[in-house]
Amino acid sequence: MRQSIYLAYKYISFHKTRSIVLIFSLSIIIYLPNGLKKLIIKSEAQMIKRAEATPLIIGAKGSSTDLVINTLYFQQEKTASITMEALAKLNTTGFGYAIPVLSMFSARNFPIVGTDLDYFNFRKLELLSGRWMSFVGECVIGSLVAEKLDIGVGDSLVSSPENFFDLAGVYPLKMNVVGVLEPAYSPDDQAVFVDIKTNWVIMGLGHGHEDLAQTNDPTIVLERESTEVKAGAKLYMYNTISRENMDNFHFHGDVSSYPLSSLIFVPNDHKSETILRGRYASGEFEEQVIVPADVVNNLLQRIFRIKQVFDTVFILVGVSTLLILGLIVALSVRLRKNEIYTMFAIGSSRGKVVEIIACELLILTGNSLFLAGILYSITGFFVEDFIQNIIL
Amino acid sequence: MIKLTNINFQYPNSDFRLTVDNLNFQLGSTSAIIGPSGFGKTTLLNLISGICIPQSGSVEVNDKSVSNMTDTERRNFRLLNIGFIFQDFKLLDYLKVIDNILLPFRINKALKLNSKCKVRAAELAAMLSIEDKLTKFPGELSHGERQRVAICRALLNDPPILLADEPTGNLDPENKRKIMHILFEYVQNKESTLITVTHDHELLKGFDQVVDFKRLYKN
Amino acid sequence: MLRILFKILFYNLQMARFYYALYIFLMISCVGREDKVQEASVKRPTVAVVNYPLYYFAKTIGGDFISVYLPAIEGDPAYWKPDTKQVINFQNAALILDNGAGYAKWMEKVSLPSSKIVNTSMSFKDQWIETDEGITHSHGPEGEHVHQGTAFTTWLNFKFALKQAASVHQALKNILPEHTDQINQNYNQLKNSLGDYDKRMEAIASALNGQLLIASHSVYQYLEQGYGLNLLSEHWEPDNMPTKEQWEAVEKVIRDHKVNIMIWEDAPIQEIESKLVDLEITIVVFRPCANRPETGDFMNIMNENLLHAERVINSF
Repeated sequence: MRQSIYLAYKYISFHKTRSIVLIFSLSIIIYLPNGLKKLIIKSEAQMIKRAEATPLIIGAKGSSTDLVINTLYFQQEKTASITMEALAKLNTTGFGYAIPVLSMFSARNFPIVGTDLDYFNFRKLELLSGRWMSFVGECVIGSLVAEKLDIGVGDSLVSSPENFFDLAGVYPLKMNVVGVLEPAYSPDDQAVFVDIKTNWVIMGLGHGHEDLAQTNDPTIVLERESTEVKAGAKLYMYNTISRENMDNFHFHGDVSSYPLSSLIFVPNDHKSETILRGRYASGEFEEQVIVPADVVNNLLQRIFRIKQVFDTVFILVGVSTLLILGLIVALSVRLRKNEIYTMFAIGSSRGKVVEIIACELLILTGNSLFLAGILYSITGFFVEDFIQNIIL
Repeated sequence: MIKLTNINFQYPNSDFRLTVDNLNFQLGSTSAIIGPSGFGKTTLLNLISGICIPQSGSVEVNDKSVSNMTDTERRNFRLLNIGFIFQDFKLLDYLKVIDNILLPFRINKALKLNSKCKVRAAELAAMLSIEDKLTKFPGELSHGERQRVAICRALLNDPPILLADEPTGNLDPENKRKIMHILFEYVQNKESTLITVTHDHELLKGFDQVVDFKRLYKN
Repeated sequence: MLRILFKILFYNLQMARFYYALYIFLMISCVGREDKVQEASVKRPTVAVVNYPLYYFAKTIGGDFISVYLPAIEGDPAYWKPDTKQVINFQNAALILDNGAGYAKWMEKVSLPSSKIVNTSMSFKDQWIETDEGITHSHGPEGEHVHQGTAFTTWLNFKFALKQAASVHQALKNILPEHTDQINQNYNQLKNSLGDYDKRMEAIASALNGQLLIASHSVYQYLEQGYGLNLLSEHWEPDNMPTKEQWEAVEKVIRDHKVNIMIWEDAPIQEIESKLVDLEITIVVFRPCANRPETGDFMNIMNENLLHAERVINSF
């Protein structure tokens, strides 16, 4: 047997390209269904875990799936917004506390998530470096954001214009990175977290400009009376919030009318949760309350059905591949007729020749299994990407 | 004595038929088989070595009937007693020279691969002036070098019977002379039997027996 | 063979003794660590506040069960701007007491965990007094607007101070449920004291009977609203002599409305006092006490304010 393995190994290593192609093809066929299965199982587990860790989501009435995806995965699907008044009302119920979430903008393709410090405690996120945001205009970035953009504490990040053709609309805001999060292996790794007020500044609900009472530039001040100043479009709006100009930033209107994408509500206990849900069901509140685990389970059942289709396809592909491989082996044996005759003529039995060819197949299959095993073992690293790019 | 008696052989799905009434080869002698192509000279060697089995008749070597042996007995007989130098060398492209020489020891349990045979392989290679080619592949060798590798393989376990099919084919006169010298020297030293198929009439004078297939056999 | 078996058995026994000792060691270590954890949890929770009245309420009601954080602030805490370290102190507090009514403007510019923030004047939000903060200005498509705000010295109306104290009381009970009894007791004492002050202020307002008073600064809106006072507010500083035009304007008011009392948030300089005396104006110092007093505490200062006012009323 040892000699058969030796001869088989010599054959395979002499025909390197052919062997590599065969190993690679086989490993892909072995890996794909198993890898996909692992991805799906782990994705399901991760999605369910994240959903179950989020007790309640409150948002505008409409698609509950979009609301859950926006809140849990920051996908920024178009959904109606709610207002800060909803948060204030919830906090007066005494049933728990609400965490605001506003995710409408992005910075270099990473979602900007406006929230408050409660979010980090809630998700048990820790800092790798720096500190939590203290002032409006500061941001804390996820580990993948830091890695992919190669930025860290002390750097800055500019929000992207919502619509390139509407340059006069949303002003890009230059945000200061004050903290980088530890990897959480969740969508939080790909988010840029800001205080919700920072998001409102990006929206234009708050802004900073020079004090018009002190400005005398005639190209800026169009008209001045004792109690009224009119300024023109030349008035420069600050695009970054610093300690020097922070005093000049202000918000217009009633803050209770300011928008939110949704609220995460953390009830004190199960009884509080039940009562609150009852009150929403009775129409006391304008918004809808969702149990994220229910929505995600529903979504995953749809995926499970697709997975069954994939399984069938993979079986068919696998069978076809095995047939093709069998054909390749048969053709290969025919091409090696002379070689086989030589061994027979020298004194080898048919069984020995079969053993040598079987060893070749064994080595190829073994290598394929090994490569498939490596791919399988690293599949886990792609779960988050799979969830973001394929499932959602 | 190697005896072929009333041999009647036909390849499957072929019209070719070899008929040998009575042909003997003395052990320890050198014999040359000549004749035009297609007369069955290679087939004769295959019958003697047990590679082919006649439909009727017998092939005996030292009073042992090769044609009546089982497959396993025939294989072992061939491995232990026959050194076959094929017309087209039949080297395996994916094995280096040293592995080609040692091939018989890897394909049958009847021969044990050990340091002794490796030393013998190196000696043969040196004797045939290919000691510096042991790590090369056959594709990197000249025609004559490949011929010598085939000879090394055939002589490795000191077979009592050496069958050579066109051992000097396509070689220049100098190499032809060298190869035949090596074969004759081996046969003389080991008191072996050499049966050679050849088209080269210049070499015939060195042989104890010449069998003219065209004159003797109508096949 | 027997000897080998015996050796294996003996070796295992030796190992067994080692494992047992290790087990005992680990158990002792765990007990030690538990003690440290218990010790950590005994540490008092920090309550961060935005002004001195809330500091006083929290300290009075929470007592030794809490540690109250009010940074050292120069001037009025309403206009204070924290640095990063101070913001972090607020972030790390177990409870953040906000005055509400737009008092701490700096809270609009910082990040704090909203679950820990208690707006102590939320219960009377509908009674917050709106003010115009500055000059109307307009720019861009939104048109004319002024940055509106609210008056924020809510505690000067003792009824509102009671409501704020109640809010503090509830918040402290939520974070220290195990000390409810003592907290209730402390709160009841404070409630009684503030109730007394409210009655005294009602009596003062009743005695004034709608008489026009001049206030040196517009900080007494809730006093005015809560007790029906008739106040005209100037923008005078106690340590800054007003201009000639400002004096003329005030003198006209004094003449037209027969005003004889001016309320000051602090004792004015001698120069101002003299001129007011010449104008037959009696000065009543009524300190808002938004920041830590140099001497005394909130109740002392309010008591002094009321005594001043009562003395003046009684003298007329």
